[in-house]
Amino acid sequence: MSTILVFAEQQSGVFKKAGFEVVSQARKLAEESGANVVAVAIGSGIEDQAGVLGEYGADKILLADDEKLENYNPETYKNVFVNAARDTEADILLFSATTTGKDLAPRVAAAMDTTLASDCIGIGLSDGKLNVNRPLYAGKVFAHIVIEGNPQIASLRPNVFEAVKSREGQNVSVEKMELPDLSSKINVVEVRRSGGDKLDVSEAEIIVTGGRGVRGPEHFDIIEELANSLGAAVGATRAAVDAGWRPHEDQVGQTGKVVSPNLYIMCGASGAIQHWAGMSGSKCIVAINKDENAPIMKKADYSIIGDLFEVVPVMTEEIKKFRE
Amino acid sequence: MKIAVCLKQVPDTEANIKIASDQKTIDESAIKFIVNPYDEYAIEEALKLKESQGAEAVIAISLGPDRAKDALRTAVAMGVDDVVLLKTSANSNDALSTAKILAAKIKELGADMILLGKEAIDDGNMQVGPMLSELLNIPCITVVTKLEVNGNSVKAEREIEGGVEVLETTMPCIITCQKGLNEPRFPSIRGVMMAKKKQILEETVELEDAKLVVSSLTYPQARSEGKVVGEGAEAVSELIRLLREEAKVI
Amino acid sequence: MNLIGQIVLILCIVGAVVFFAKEIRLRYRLVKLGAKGPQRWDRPVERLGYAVGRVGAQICSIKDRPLVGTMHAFIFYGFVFFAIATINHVTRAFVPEFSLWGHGLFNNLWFLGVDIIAILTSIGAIFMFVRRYVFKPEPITKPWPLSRSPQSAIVLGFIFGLMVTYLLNQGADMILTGKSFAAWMPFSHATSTLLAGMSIPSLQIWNAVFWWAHILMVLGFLVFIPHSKHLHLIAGPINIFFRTREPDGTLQKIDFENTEEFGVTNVNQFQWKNIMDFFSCVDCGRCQDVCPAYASDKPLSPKVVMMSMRKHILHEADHLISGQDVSEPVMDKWQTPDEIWACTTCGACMETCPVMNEHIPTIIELRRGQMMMENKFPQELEPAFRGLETNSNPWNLGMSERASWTEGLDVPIMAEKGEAEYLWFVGCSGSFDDRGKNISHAIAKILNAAGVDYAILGTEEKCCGDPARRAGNEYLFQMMAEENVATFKQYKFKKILTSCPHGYQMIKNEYPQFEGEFEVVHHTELIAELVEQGKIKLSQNGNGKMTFHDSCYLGRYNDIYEAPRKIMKAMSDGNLVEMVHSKNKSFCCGGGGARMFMEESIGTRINHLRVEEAEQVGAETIGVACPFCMTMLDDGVKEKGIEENIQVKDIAQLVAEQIV
Repeated sequence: MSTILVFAEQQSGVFKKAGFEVVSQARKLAEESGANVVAVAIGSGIEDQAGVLGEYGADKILLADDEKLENYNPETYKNVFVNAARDTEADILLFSATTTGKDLAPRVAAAMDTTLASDCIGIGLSDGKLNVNRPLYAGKVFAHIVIEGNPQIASLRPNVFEAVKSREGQNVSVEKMELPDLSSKINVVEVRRSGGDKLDVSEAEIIVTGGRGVRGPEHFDIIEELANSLGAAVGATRAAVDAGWRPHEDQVGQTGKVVSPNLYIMCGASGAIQHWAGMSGSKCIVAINKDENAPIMKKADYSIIGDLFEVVPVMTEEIKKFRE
Repeated sequence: MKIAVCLKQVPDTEANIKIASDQKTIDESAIKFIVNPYDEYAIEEALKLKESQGAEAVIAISLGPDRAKDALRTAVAMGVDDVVLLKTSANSNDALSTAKILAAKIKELGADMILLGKEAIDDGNMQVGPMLSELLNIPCITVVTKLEVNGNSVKAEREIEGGVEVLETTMPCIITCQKGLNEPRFPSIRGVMMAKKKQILEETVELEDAKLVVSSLTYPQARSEGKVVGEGAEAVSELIRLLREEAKVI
Repeated sequence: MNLIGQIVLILCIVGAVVFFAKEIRLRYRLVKLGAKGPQRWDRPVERLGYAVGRVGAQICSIKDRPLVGTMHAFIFYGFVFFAIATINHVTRAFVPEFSLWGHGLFNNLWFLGVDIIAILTSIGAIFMFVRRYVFKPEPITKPWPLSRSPQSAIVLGFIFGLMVTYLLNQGADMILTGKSFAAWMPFSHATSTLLAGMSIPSLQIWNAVFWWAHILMVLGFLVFIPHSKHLHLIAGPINIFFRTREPDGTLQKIDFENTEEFGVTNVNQFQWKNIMDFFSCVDCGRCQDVCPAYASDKPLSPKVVMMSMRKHILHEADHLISGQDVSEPVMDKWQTPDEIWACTTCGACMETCPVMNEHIPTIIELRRGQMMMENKFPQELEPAFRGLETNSNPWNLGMSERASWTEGLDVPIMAEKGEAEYLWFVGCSGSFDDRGKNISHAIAKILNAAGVDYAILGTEEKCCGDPARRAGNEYLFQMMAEENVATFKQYKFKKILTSCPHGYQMIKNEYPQFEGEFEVVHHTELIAELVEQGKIKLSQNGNGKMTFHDSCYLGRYNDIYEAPRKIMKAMSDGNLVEMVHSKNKSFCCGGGGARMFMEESIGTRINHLRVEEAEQVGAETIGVACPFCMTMLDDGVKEKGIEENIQVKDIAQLVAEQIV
């Protein structure tokens, strides 16, 4: 029986939704091929929570729990995961294409003398081989790829696949792995997270973005209020970031982050092609703009022609009302 | 200190990408090529390190077809000392193959600081940097937005979701560069003119058989026509209704 | 005069001439040190005629400032007459009865003339003195202390003194010789009545005093001329002789194959004509008065550019004449980056300059030196340069999209059509900018409705290169110009139609430097022609009170004023007004000189100033003929929040609205 080995990413002791997405997808593939899904959880103090991975579809959980593994370290995590891969003789290795996943997966691949297909938005099995679909040229073209290497390795774009608790309440065995040498030439000195609860655009299901039309950093509060009412992250166009109104980590676009939320609301932004490249994967796009000829107005699923300073606060009110 | 920069020549971000008739590659005929923007941060950081720390040389390496010489000339115009073209017949599809060839060259050069962009904007793989780390058995820090070098020790800030990580390591090491690390200098006109005359060292290389096989390329699905819900604040209730009932996203 | 007097006189004259010649020679040598520059010996007779006419009729000073100019004319004619009269004056010291014009009627008329001139010149001198020191007008007193020179007081004192001593001398002469000549020399005669009460011996002494004072002032002035702005007496007419015969502001190419140094970093790298300009500058401030950068509180004043370069080169004179290099570069001490990058190349300075200085080439040479040699330029230009290099347009939008604006329209492409009467060069704004595209749509509609045989280059078209050249990136510009010329030459056509005055200027007046000689027409010229031929009919169009904003590159550069007005008049039913600055005096929109691609962060906004001029005449529609003017004025209207009151439309749009 073949094994699909999944890296279940956690942060600060909490498993990420992106990790659940990969486990769920592995489960789906396993149903087709009759494979075993093994999730690898690496961290510190995560033993109690690891079980939830079973609910998302893991048949078994390999646990590496140690103080030294609290923060992601490329060398130690790679060594742990490669050990797991060799021990389980996994045929397929899956990661999430988060910052950590994108750093870890290539190292594992090289260590196992093979390549991976990264940032996939579609994945399936055909004749025992992984067939994936991944974007090229900032999404202008998609490549349908057959993975010939062994093991077959792929990383999945966050927020594209569903995280499904297909085995709710199921209890699954958690096996503690023998740990390799956890010394590393890289030392994590500090981890600074901005604003505690602030939701990162790359992980959000709903994003409200402000552009040049917001006219200044002081006016972004109306964008933030709409975002809060929806439980959404606040994004920014390059214009707003270059003007110094918002930090670069909020930038969505070709030179910022590529996102694919369920709902993307654009306020006071024209939808230039470079921005579009960063959010065209959104399931539903809403645009609010004074200019009916702005490029985004033709591409958005729903649009309102109007002044964002009038429309957005009204939206916030309506949403608050309906949420009560 | 010997600094190596790995750079890739890629289609311009504005290029109109057309799928070639073989359905597996793109039509390069009407495309303008540029230095991968993230590699520009690498070149700039290398030059800055040379200026502040003193270095024996900054050498730029590129794996690619003959046209990649133009990208190397841009690096010369910016101020790198030497360039090498590892010539292949086309762009490589396979990050491991690329990394192996680059690793061999880097080893030959004896570089202590290796800089490259975090990803190439054509394939968006983000793999070569970390793979080089495995192959050369030296540390690699990715997505770096700030770099401090003091003698042999290296301190880097790395961009992660919702924050920043600060890591330390020692040379030799690999750094992949993210936007915000620096402002790449504009290649001076003088530099451009001198670069035109520069002799570029070429070595023909063979890529391994690709482990990722492209079965076809397709264009993204066109989105269906959107609708204008209305004008001004009065349209808001209708919009919210549609988002709830039709799109079901809230 | 006795022998001692004659010897003293000769010594004074020789001394004065020697000092004068020495300084003139120094300046001549400094000019000659200038890098090889334009050949301006072509058509010498025409040049001479022009210079003599312009200076002789004092057109240079009377235009734009009629009252002051007339006063200057008085002083000028005073100089001319007195220069001749001095010959007489001096010769008589050796040959007592000498008279240059003989002793007949002509001589009498001559002396009448001199008398009248003496009074007029005195009036002129007094007027100038009061103007400068009592009313202190800005153009000649700012910036301080550069323009608050005591030089003027000295010179006006000399001039007034010369007139007074002449009249007094003549008056005293009349009493001493008994020959009154009251009819022919009324004013001299009048002074003689002032002196009537004196005893003869004192009068003789005073007469000698007046005589010597006069000649010493003449000689003193001669020595003073080269050291001051009054050098323009000599340099000005020479500068006018060597004037440029191309449209003001046209730039020249650099031979990159054969030069290692581009543009100007050190003052001796200026071309000889630029250096001549520095010495010809009169400090009159007319250029400063009309400069849009100066008007909007930028540190730039064209006058200061000229004068500071003069000061600088004189400062370096010792080094340069002894064959050494300069002691310091021009930037940032003698000119600052904020100054040179503020220029919009509007040409108002050159248009008004009495001595025909070429301010724009001087400023651009400094930009070239900064950009190409030092790699120093406003950061916002970097993406524009990149865009031009990668995608042939300053916004770096995909070059494959250059013809997308034609979607849904019937616009022929040259590559398909092969030949046409007009090759329509659409330009970057017309192809990529939203407002520019609207103008292109309008033009296409007009051309199709009138059945004009045309085609566009589509994706083969590249930026005309104006932003690169004006920003000092001559290297990039030349590449683009050569590529465009090569593309043009592939096709058969009679004329090139442009929808942008910058494209017009480049293709018509600057592409010939790259062997691209084409007949070029602006869209307003073509539309005016079509209206005249009856192919388009215009009528009153309900755009309210209209005014036309003359684009610098269309009007001042290329003298196209009437075509757009003809069109607007046909649509305005008598409601066409002119702004306070119009036609060749038009006020720039602020977009030229690559400023369209730079941030305007100092002072006030040039485009706002121009919009205010439109508001002042109650205009409801501002007609434009340039996509840059369109952007700047439309932005200005929106930024001032008055879009309800004023609309900005290209002439083509106004016309297209009338086509069904």
